Amino acid sequence: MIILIIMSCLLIISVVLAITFGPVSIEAKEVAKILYYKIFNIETTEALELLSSSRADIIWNIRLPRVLMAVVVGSGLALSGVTMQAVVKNPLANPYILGISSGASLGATMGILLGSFHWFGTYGVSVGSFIGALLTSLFVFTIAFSGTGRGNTIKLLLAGMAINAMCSAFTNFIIYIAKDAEGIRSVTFWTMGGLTSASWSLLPIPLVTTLVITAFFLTQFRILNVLLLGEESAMTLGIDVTKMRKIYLVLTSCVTGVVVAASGTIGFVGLIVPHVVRMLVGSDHKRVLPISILAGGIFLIWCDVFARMIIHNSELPIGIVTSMIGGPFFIYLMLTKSYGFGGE
Amino acid sequence: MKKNLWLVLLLCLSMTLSACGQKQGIEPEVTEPVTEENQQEIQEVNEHYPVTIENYDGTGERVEQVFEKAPERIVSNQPQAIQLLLALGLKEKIVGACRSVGDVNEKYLDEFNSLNFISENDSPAKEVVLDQNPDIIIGWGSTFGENTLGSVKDWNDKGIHTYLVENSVAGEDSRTLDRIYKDIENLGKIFDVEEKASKMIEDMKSKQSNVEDKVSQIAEEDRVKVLTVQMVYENEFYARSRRDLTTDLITRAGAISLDDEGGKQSIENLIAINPDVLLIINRIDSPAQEKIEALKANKSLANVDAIKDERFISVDYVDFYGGNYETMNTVERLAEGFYPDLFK
Repeated sequence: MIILIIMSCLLIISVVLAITFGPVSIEAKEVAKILYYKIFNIETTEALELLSSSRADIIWNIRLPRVLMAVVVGSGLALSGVTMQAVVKNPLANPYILGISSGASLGATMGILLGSFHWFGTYGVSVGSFIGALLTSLFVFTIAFSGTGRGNTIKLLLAGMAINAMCSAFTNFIIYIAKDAEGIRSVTFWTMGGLTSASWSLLPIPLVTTLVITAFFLTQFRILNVLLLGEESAMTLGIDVTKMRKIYLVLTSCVTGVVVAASGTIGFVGLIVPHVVRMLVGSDHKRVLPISILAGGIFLIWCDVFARMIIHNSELPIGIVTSMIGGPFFIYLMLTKSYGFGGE
Repeated sequence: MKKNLWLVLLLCLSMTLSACGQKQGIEPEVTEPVTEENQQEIQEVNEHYPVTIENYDGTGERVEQVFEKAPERIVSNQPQAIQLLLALGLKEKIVGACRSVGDVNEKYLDEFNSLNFISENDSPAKEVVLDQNPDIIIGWGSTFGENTLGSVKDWNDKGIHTYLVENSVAGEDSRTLDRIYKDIENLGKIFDVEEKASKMIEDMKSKQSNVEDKVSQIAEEDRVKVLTVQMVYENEFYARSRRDLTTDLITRAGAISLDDEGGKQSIENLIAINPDVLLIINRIDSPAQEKIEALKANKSLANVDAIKDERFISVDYVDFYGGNYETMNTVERLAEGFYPDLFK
C-alpha cells in the first residue's frame, strides 16, 4: 500500500516536472503559477495577464495534454502488457502480440499514403490505425476460438503471428508502390511512435477508455493470478477460463487500439514494465497491476521528455527512446536479480 | 530429360519471338528521329562537342559526363526535371517519363500527359528504363540507388549518360535558385540549346533583380519573418529545413526565413518563433487550404502573429522542392504576399 502511495506521488511530481521541459524555456515558478491559476480558475489581474500570454498557451494547451497523453499511453500499454502476459501465460507476450500493431500500422499507412480515411479529415490516420487494430484483433480471436472453441493460447499466438506477417506484408506493399517519399517518411515516423500531436481534443477517448478498463482489471487480480497458474488449476477453482480470456482479450485490445491510434506503435513499454515490476514486488497481480500502470505512466513521461529535449528544435520518435533507455535497464535488472516470471 | 530439352527449346523460341516483336515495335521509332536530327546537326557537332559536364552520383560524389553529341533519347524519372526539359523545348526527345506526387506546372500539363509514361512513381525498374534504349537518364538524386533506378556508375558503364538535378544531389549543400540556373545552363550545353537556356536564365535573373530591387527598399527591421509549414496535425507540425529551397525563395523575396530543423515538431516551437507569415506547402493529397483551416482552428496558436493576421501564402510542391524555370514566378508571388503595399 505504501509503495502505491509513493508511486502515485511520483507520478504527480513527474507530470508537473515534465511540463517545465520543452524547447521554449519557461521558469518552473511560472509553470506552477499558470497551472494554479488555470486549475483554480483565479481571475485576478495578474492571473489574467499571465494566462493571456503565449507561455500560458504553451503550458496549458500543448505541454499539459502531451504529458497527460504520455501517462495514458504508458499506463495503457503497461496494463495491456500485464493482462496479455497473464492471459496467454507467456512472458514474451506484449500488447502487440495479437498483431494489433501491424494492423494499426496498415491502417495508418493506408491513411497516410493512400488517403483511405480522408473523410475523417486530419484525424484520418488515427481513425485508420484504430480500425486496423480492431479488425486484426477480431480476426485473431475468430481464428483462435474457432474449432474446439476453447481457444488455446498457442493457437492465439500463432494466429497473431500470421496476421502480423500478413499486415506487415501489405504495409510494405503499399510503401513499395507508393510514389511519395515524404509520405514514406511519415509512415516510418508513425511506426516509431510519438506524442507530439497530443492535444486536448485527442485526449478524452484514450483517457476514458484506459481509466474504465483499468478500473475493471483492478477488480480482476485474483483471476489473473489463477490464469497464470494454468488452465487446469483455474478450472478446478470453478473459473470459466474461456469466457474470462475472451473478455480480457477484447478489453485489452480496446486499450491497445486507442493508445496506438493516439501515439503510433511505441515498443517495449508493454513488455518490460510488467517484468520490471514483477522483479521488484513479486508476481501477485494485486500489486503488479496497479504498480505497472503507474510505472508505465512515469516511464513514458520521462522518455517523452528525453525525446523532445535531446535534439534542439526537433523531436526524436519516442519508440526509439523507450527501447534505448528501457533495454539496458531491463538487462541490468536481469543480471542483478533472479527472476522467473511468476513461477519460482 | 527429354521434357527439359523441350522446355529449353520452347524458351529459346519464345525469346527470339519476343525479340522480333520488340524490333518491329520500336526500331522505326528509334532510327527515324536519330537520323533526321543527325543530319541537321552535323555541321554544329564539331564546334559544340565534346562537352564535359560536372555532375554527381547518387551519393553526392562528383562524376564527369563527357558528351560527344547531343543525346537523343531521354528517360526522366522526375516531373520537376521533366518540366525543365519541356521548358527547354526538349519534349520530342523524352522517350520515357515517370509520374510522382506532384503535377507539373499547368502550362505544361498537356505536353506532360502526352509523354510515354514508363512508371507511376519515380523508381522505374531498370529493365523498363533500358527497354526505352535511352542515351541519357535525367532525374532526382536519391533515386539513383542500387535498389531503385540503379547507380550512376552502372548506367555510365553501359554507355548511358546520367544527369542529376542539382537541387536533388545528396550532401550538405543548400538548395538554391542559383543551382536551378546551373541546371538550365548544363542542360543547354548538353543538348546544344544554349541560346534558349541563356534566354531562360536571363529572364529569370531579370525577374529576380526586379524583385530584389523592390524589396531592397524594405528596411532591415521591417522585413517579415517567415516559417514554412508542410503538414499540421493537432499540436504537431512538419517543418522544412534551412537547407531546403524554401529558405532561398523566402530570402530572395526579401523576407527572413525561420526554417531551421526539418521534420516533426511540437507547435510549441511555432508559438515561440512567432512568424509574421506562414508559407504553406500545397500538395494534391494535402491541400494548403485544409492546413490553413487547421492552423486557424487551433486555439493555442491564436497569439501567433501570422495566424492572428491571417497571413498565409501557399506554394506548390513542384516549386519548393527542387525548383524550375517557373519558380521565379513563385518568388515574385511571395514578395507580393510579404509586402503587398510595395507591389500595389
